[in-house]
Amino acid sequence: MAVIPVKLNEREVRNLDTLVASGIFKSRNEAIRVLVSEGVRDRLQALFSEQTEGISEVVGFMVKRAMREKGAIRIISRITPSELIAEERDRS
Amino acid sequence: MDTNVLLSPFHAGDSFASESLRILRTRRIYKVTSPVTLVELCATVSRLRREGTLAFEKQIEESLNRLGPSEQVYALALFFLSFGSVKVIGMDTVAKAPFDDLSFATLLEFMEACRIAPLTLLRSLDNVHIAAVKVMKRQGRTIDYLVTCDKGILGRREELRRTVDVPVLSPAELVETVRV
Repeated sequence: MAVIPVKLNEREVRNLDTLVASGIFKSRNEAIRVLVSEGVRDRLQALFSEQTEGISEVVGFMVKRAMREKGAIRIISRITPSELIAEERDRS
Repeated sequence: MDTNVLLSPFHAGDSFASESLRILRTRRIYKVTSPVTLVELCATVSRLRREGTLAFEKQIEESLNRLGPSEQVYALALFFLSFGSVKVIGMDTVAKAPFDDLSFATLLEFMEACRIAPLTLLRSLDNVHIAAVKVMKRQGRTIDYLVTCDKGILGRREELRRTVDVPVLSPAELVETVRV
């Protein structure tokens, strides 16, 4: 584990102590570790969601078209999907 | 569902195209796969796009063009999953690899893939897929069949059946077995 010095203001420390005193966390240390971990995870998820915004709409449209129209999406490679995936798995 | 089943109906020359289409279209079967499939779909779609061997009708091309290049690939991968209503079962159980000084945390599926490698003698990603089935079963999920178009995997079905205790079927065999 790495040790990272972090400065907190009095209000933030008081809030942390409230969480510890109410039994949610065993110590300030645990509170900071858990909250940082949750915050980082949420931010990373939000970052990914932002990057994939608008995708659902496009996917929904493609599914609708492909259901209605055979040939709306076609793989025209020389080799079959089975061989393509075998290549992915280094088994060609 | 193996990744190749999801792509099979979209290739006119695929020998299982019509059976795979029936499987993907039916709502009578609950279809699942592992996150490895999403990774394989993204890699395959990227290669097909680069080679110009993925063809779309104009409306779809226009819709895709609204997205950036990476998002287009991700959208196409999600399309192949959504088209067949195939659910991705997440890998979220972390296992500690028991190697003393070399100890590290990893996904349970990777540890299982290491364990079954000498039994299956398959390549890494095949083993991760098979390991995912084992872990899903251990977590209480019912996996009735493992479906693949891959003749190499189908040719080793007996070893795989012994390893995961799940019958390995081609799409044609599944259609016949469950009558979809």
